[in-house]
Amino acid sequence: MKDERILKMEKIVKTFGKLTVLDGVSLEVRKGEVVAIIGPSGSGKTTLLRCINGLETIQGGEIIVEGFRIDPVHRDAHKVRERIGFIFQKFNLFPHLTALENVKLAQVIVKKRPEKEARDVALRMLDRVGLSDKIDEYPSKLSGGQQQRVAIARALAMDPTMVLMDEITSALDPELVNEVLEVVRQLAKDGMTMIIVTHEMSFARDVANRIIFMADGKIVEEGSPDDIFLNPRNVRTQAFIGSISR
Amino acid sequence: MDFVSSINFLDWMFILKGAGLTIFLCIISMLFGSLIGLGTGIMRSSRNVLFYGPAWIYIFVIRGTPLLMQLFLVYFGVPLITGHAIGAFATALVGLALYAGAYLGEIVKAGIQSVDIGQKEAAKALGMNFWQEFRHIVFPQAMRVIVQPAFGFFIALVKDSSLVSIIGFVELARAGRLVIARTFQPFVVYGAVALIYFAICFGLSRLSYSRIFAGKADLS
Amino acid sequence: MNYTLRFSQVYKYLPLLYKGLGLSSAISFVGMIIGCVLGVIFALGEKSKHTPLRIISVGYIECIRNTPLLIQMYLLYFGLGQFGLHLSPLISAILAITLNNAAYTAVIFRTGIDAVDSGQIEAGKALGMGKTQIFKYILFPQAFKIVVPPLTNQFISIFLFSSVASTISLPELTYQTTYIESVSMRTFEVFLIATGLYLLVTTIISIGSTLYEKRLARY
Repeated sequence: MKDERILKMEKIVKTFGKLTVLDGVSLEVRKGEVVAIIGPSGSGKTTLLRCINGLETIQGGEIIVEGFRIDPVHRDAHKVRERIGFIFQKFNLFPHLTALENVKLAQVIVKKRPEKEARDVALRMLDRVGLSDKIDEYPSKLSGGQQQRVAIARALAMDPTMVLMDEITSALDPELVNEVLEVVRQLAKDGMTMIIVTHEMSFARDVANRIIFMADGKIVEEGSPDDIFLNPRNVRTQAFIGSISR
Repeated sequence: MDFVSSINFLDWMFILKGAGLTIFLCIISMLFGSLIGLGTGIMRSSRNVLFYGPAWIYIFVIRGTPLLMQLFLVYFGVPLITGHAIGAFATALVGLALYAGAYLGEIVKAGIQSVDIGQKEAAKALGMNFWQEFRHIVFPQAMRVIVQPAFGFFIALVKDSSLVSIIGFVELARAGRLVIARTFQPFVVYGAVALIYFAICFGLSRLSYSRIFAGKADLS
Repeated sequence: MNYTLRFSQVYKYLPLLYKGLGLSSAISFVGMIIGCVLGVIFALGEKSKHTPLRIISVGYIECIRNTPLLIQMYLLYFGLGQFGLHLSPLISAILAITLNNAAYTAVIFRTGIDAVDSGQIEAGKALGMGKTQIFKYILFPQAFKIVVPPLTNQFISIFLFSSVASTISLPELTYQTTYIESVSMRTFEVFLIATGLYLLVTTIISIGSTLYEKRLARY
């Protein structure tokens, strides 16, 4: 039985001027997998994520999503982005729209869904993240945790095959982190394919099937949570795990 | 087009002299205007009605009426009040200085109010009186916020100074008009006048970019 | 000072002042509307990837912003006359104000669009929106709220500088004021009334804008 490969990245190179941020990174993700990427600041993990849905252009390598090679310069790039959900660290909700309108907008103008269907889907997604009572609030009236949950609902409403999460709890006050992590846990249980860049180590251990440790623009080590956290083989990995356990 | 004379060297010199007078007038007006603006801005920031009232009225009237009207008012009004006429330069200077004073006053007020109230409280807690607090704490910090818009206003003043040509002071715009009266080539002359204004204003705004960077380096 | 205020001698000229005010307001209004439309075009042109378009836009904006309105008006009214093209004072004034305003509003719009957080654009991209959709549904609504205050100031500025048209014999408010002054010799009275009229209009514009901004601030 062949597992479907949702994502294949081969030898990705990304430079910002003279600075090489990604130095030949290769990665494969199968359907239903939850992959957590950890590593020190500047390791390139956020950049890697942003390359997948074209927010950053690559200077070398190939990105293949569901068998479809995507070149960010290609005109169809934004069609592929529909199938990939992205949750930002800063939430990036549209401040001039209510929570419900935020979740509806892209469905209507990108997926061309009829108003009624979009509204139904939006209500279901907002219910799924536990915010049915806040659908008519503007983002400025919502807490950080609530805004991030709306952002997740907004991405889910597009029926993505994969959801990318870029340090989605880093900008939240500590007491608000859990409500967001709970939603992500439930998504994992529901079988959503996810790639999560995070600092929340215990969460990564808990929810991910596979952990990837990155440093200096390369993948240093990857394996199951137990492999990485209990038995790191690489010296760099050991140092990193050691420093965070204290 | 048969009575069009060509524009000779003397005409160009006359126009350049006008340009020089424009710059001179603007600098002097800006100096006086800065003094007025400083006083106005401080008064406008006060919580005492006796201070911010007159300042508010002054700023409101000047900013709510056209510069040209203000210049006419000085031109017609000053002789009526003082009994004798003052020269074109003095008229222009008074008009522009009062105009600048109001706009700069608003900029100064914004600068003063931008200083974090904690700073003022700390100064008071250390026992400083109003002038000490202002001179050592408020003013230096306010200046950082004031310099850039004030310089921007100066550039605008150079352009607005063209209006004093209407009340007879022979600066750049007026020099152009006089040369046209002799040579009847309005497009060429006003085109050249525009180019000179452009050179001055564009040059000044380029200068402001480097000044700002120099200013930023100062802060550390 | 040997001057007593005698307003009664000026009252018969009031209709002239009102006509002048109407003309000042009209040319300012037209100049503002058309100028804003052009301003948006130049603002988008400035940010365009198409280099010739960008050069033209930036060049236009810099030329207008670094030269006085008076000279621009003179170039249209007197300057074109050198080539035999004689525009009326009204057309010259409206044209000069419009072209002048376009450059200033272009900068206002450009600044407003840039001020919208880049994360908003990224969120739109991540959801699969195309460039036009991002502009229409995300950039423009947010930029609009940002540009209202500077646009108001610009409108007031145009209204005040419409007085420059008096120098090319357009019978707007300032022209009427100096005319009445010369025939009635009641300098202070007529200037006081005219000043009051200018202040009235600028205050109405300011208050109107403040109220509108409060309405926009509901989120």
